[in-house]
Amino acid sequence: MRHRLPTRPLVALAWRHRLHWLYLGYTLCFLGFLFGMGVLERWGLPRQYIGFIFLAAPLVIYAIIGVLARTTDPAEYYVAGRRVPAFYNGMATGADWLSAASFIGLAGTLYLSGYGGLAFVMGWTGGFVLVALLLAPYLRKFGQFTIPDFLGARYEGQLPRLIGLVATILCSFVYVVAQLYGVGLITTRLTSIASFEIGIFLGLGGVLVCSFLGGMRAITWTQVAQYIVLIVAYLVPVMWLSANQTGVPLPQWVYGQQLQAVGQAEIRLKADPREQEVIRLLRDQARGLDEKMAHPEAALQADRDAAWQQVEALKRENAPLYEIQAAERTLARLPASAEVAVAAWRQARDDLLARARPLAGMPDHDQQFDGRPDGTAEERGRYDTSRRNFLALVFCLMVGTAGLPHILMRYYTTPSVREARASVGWSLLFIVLLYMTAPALAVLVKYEIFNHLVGQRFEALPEWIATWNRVDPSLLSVSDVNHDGVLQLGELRIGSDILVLAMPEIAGLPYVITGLVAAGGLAAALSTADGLLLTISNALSHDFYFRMVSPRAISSRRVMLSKLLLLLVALGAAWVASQKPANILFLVSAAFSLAASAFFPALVLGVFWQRANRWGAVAGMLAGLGVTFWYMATTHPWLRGGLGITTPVRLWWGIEPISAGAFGVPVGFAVIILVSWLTPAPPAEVREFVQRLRYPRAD
Amino acid sequence: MRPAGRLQRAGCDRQQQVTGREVQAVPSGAAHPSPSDLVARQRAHWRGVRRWTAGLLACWILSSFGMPYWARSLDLSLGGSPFSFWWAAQGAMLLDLVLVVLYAWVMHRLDRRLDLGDGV
Repeated sequence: MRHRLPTRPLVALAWRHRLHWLYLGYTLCFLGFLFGMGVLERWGLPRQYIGFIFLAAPLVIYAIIGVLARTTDPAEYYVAGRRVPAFYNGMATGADWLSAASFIGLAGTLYLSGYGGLAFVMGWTGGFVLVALLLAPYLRKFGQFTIPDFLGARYEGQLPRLIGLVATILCSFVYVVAQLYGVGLITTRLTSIASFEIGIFLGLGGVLVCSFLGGMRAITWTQVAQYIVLIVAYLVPVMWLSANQTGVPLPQWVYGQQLQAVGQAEIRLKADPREQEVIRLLRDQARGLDEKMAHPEAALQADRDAAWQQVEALKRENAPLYEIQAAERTLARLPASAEVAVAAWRQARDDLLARARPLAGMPDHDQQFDGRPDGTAEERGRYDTSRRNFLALVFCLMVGTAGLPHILMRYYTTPSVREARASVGWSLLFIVLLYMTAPALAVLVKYEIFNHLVGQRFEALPEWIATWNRVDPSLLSVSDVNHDGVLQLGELRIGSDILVLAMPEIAGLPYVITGLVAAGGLAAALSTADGLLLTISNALSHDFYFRMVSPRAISSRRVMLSKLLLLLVALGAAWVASQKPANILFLVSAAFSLAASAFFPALVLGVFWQRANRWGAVAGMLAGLGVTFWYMATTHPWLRGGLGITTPVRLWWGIEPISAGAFGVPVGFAVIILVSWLTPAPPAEVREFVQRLRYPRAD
Repeated sequence: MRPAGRLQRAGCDRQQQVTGREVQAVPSGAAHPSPSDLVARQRAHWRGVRRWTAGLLACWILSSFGMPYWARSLDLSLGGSPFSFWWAAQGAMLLDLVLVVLYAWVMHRLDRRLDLGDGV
């Protein structure tokens, strides 16, 4: 007769109860803080103080948690002592996963692309099924510290470990640069800090103060706190807006009827003669730019002459100083040479043509894919291609989720295999809370803009348009193209990044809500940056230094080295981010494709197929990475420019470079299987190792 | 020369050392289970794991790829929004959540039935 295990040891239970009370207290304090700030705003506290307090106060709390959780023990530093209960690990993983892209960029992308943007929503949630079924329990049973650890043990060698290490650093570094860039954006937009670089370094300070002293232990507990902030910051404004529009504060439930209303507004706007007039005028402007590009030198000279004459005329009339200065600035900003001018005009013309379409270039919000399956051959072609690209993107993002080391590593920190499985469930729940709300947010804002903003007179436009326009005109601008004094949809240019940050003002909510949203965005960016930096520094100190270079290093030295590397990598990433690299969205998506092709086939076959051996894994990982990188390099304009590739672009089955992993992953699988069959089987020890992975407890 | 490819055998069981819990209280005097009994249980366990993994993955593939593939033909209106839009925006996520929770529950039951679990 076997005795059953006691349900939970008393010590662990007391620990969990303490956590519950701590975080409940924290949540109530945060809500109290929010309420208090609202009262202060009513009493007249100026906006920049509100913005500053909302950014600084949570940072202080994260710093306190980070300092309280400091440690030098390797098990605590690398995997938080494996004591994180599933519920809290889920919250921390959720915060780690929800980055600045999810918090700020997603709703804007959904606003601009409708159904097409849902590929991101599906892709970024669906991958967790792969993690739960294929990876998390087995990694937890393996029980080391990092993903290259697993590769090194399963494939018995330093080469798989090394490849895993390089891929980890590549994917994570690219991702962390994007997060720090997001931190810079938030701090400069919402406070009076003028310099982008200072914003980034302040954010960097926030990141380091949590992760530097306590590693995974500090990061996990800080991320739980950051999750609470970010989910409140995302849900409160949308619920308020939903209550305003429909009377029901549950946006995920009611936005269906708003979607219908948006559909009707779309029909109305497409048929409006004044919108069509705006489209014609924008096309005329584009044609004007085309003519300029036909004779660039003459046109540039004509522009210079006109600007010069303007300045002279203002000086002669003794116009006010600021007008003269504005005219001089216009003159100074003219392009220096004909090539630069042509490039600028081409960009502007493409921009105008994109806007000179019904609904300012946006598709019908609920239309699935371009074209029509039962239309002309051209329409059918467009339908097939857009559907294929949607599915390929969903595939890449999902498989990439199950290949990103900083997420997979989190399942090492739970106490048992059973808790690891439960933890994936909790992670997904906390992530779904935000992702279910993002489409609702996009629809509600679209309703607000289509029905309340469009059609207003220019003099009566709300304050927030002018404010955001001053901050960054490329993100938000209005101009009366047809000079009728009324705002048409085609005259409004709104960038995707601004939607979430400006949404409280669009909805007419008090300024504290804008501060709250900024605090949420900062929490999202900092939590992800923390997790990524730790992954990189762990890869370097544990996988490279300890496992490969100096296996006899004592534990305190390993942890010291990890802290030092964290600092250096963070500074390096901040420097790269402050250069404002272009194409951040592409870099982040590239990280997904590369992680998917490098890690997913090797990890899954490592667990489920005993025959997979060292040669297969090495060949497969390199082949997957190689195919993905080669496809991106030969088809994406930015990489092509950087590497100087000039052969014509040939897309395979019309798949865009952002989904290059759709080719890398199958190639990875095929190569591992083929090469493993052709080379000797792994020894008996490896087979036993794989066997042991499969059961939570070997007797 | 450092031996390459040494397995971290201890790693698999480290969880028990770190958390310091007693795994199995076998009453003194009872015989340890025979090896063939263990192998049979392990085989049954792995069979169950494979079946459930395959089944749940099939549901997942249908929901995540099948539904968008046939999105246009599934365009019925459901309480105000077209069904395929709602599925991509909310339904697929909720199904994923159900699949993950179901997997955790089923696996725990399997572990307990075959006495191969480590969960508390």
